[in-house]
Amino acid sequence: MNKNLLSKLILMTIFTVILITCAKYKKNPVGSEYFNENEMGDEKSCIIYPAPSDTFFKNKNIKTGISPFLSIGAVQKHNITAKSLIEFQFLPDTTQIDSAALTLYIHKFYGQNSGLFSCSIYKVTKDWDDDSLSAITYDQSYQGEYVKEFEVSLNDTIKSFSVSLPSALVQSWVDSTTAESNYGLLFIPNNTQFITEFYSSEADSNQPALEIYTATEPDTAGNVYPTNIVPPTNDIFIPEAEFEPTSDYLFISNGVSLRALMNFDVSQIPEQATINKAFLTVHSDTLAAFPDCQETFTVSIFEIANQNWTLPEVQIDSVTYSRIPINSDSSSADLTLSVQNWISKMKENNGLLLMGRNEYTNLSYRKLYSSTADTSKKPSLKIFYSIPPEENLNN
Amino acid sequence: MKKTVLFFLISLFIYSQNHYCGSILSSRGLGMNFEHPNTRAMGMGEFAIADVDPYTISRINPASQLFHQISRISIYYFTMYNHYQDQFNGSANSQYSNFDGFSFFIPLHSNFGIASGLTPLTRMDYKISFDKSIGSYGYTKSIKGNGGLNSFDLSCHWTFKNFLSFGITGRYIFGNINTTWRINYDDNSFIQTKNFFSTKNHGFNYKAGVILKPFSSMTIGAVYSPKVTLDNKTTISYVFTDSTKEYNGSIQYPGSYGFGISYQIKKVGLIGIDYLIYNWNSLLINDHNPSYAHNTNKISIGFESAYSIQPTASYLKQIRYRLGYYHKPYLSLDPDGNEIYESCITFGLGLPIKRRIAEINIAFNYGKRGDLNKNGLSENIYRVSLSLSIGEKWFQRRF
Repeated sequence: MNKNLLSKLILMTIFTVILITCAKYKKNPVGSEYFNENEMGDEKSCIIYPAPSDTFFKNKNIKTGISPFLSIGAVQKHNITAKSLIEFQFLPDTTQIDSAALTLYIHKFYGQNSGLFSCSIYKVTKDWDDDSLSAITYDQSYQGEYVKEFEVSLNDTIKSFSVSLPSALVQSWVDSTTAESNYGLLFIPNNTQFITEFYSSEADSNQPALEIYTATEPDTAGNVYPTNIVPPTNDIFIPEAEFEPTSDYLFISNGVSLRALMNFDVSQIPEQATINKAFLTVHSDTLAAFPDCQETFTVSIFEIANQNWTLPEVQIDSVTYSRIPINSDSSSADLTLSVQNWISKMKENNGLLLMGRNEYTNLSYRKLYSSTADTSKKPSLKIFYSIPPEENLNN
Repeated sequence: MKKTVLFFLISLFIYSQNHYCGSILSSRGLGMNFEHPNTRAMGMGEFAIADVDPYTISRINPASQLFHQISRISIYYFTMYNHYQDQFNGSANSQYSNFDGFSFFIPLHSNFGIASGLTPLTRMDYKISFDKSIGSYGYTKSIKGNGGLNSFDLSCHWTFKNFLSFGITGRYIFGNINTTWRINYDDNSFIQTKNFFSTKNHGFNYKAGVILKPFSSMTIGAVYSPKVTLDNKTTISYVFTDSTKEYNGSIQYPGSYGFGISYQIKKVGLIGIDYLIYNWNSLLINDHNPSYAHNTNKISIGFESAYSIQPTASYLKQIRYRLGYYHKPYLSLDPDGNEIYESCITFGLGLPIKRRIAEINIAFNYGKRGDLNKNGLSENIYRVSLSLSIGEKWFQRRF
């Protein structure tokens, strides 16, 4: 063999051996077990339960007027009732109204999927709009003159129905001398088995419609078409519910807007710790869920912005939030960022506010176990954290 | 063939510059003590305190430049290959090479001269990792450290009638020590911990030395350096925030003292012995005394063969051949409180260039640190030190 080639091969072999044997920073290098690993930082986990001051309260500012849905009905078993108000203004100037009908489009049912839908219609007595009226500000004084009552047999194949309105009433909304007292109609349910949810004027389609017919001859096929179709000016649903306060439970509700507060004392974790994971686990009573526990109920969790509040005026930090989709008796949400902020003093730990994600748009609630419940059921915050080696910290 | 060798050497040089999976022992304190004497001494078992060689500059004893007649500059290069074994039958190799500082000497007068230089003091380069779990959540914990301390020295010496010399070195000690601490959970939904600690150290110190030559063939030397407090500032970066935290701290770097004696045997050579003590017990990191630190006392024995300074002599006779041995404990105890001893045999050559105006020095060390049965860890150490020492007549002693 060529002498030069042999020399090159030997040199390349030596170089390759060095490359292979000297891998930088091998995992678990020789002697890893030689030293006490406890001197090299600490990794821990802990479970923290909320302070016994956890509670729930009714939100004062319930904006159901922005909901794309209107609910009318009642479910006696859960003590929930929903009324709706619909107002039609700025009707076209029509000489003579022959008839009028209100068409409502069904979104879904709460309680049961079929039955006799019975409702009474009243005039509304005073001015209101989507922003000013809420379940808190609504009272009996809004209920005015009885207009009519109607019944419709509904099931999940029926997507809409129409109810006729007195032509004189609708005529009065057009007449310039009486239009000023047009504050719309109030729909109060008579049935107590289910709630029907309709699309509202905030929906993208299938909005309620007032169909106005004038004295027009039918077409050659005998059909009579409405002269005008008018969308609502304002519409809103007014949810009402009664929950018996109990210290073992925290109610969180959409529609009725019940919110819960809880606070976790994390001061046992040192400031320099990195929070690797923190998750809040809540347990719900699956037998006390509305409409039922099969449907996922999403809870939004917000940090409370400061300590200067009195119920129900709780200011939240809307920037950082997490969500718990509750679809079983136990559900968890990631709170790593919030806990890290509290530990490293980047934010004050003022506690957490839990509210329904669809608070203004639908009717549902969950009953969560509170801090006074059994240990296996009470809310818990499990935290995995790590503390760097002490010699790196100037304690 | 020459091109191949050159390519190989350059490749190895580039590859090895920053390639070190260093000893786990360097995780202790401020890292390994990396204060090498010059290459000549490394070929003589690190014997240096009572060495007054006129062709090399001592980095240990500032009084030992008394026989330098002309200006001299030395640059040092160091390479090390280690093989590690632990009690769990694990083994690994590491390779490290780097510039090892420089020395510069100017004789200003027949009995006075100044010198300066840059000397690495400690070096840290390690990574330790553990596989652990909390409940069913597995994770890997690791610590990586690198950096070290260096000293920029400015010294002077004064000699009285070639039998007594005093020297003092002002030292500016500086350097960064960086530590990265990680916790990596197997579950990707976890935030992975990464804390980075960067500590910048600086402080002033001095070292004093004395050389006594009771008669021409005997040299007695001693050195002393007090402990010094280095100020530092540590910057901590966390994974969970862009902002950093800073705190001021301090390190108390230990003092050292030692003495040595050498004897020139005609036609045989020079034989010398050193005893050097580092008071690592006084090491304080942010006022905490690491429990594992303990004093080290190094004993060095060295020999250099007689050589010819005649230009007509054969080149082999002009070469200086060196042998040596040293023994010292490591600055850290093992977990059971046992000392970790390091022993090394050394061999060196001094290759003259142009009538010894310049000299290339090479030292080879083979040693062993730790005992597998006693300490649970042992290391085989292979070191090569290379230096070039050049004399120039920019400044010449005036008598």
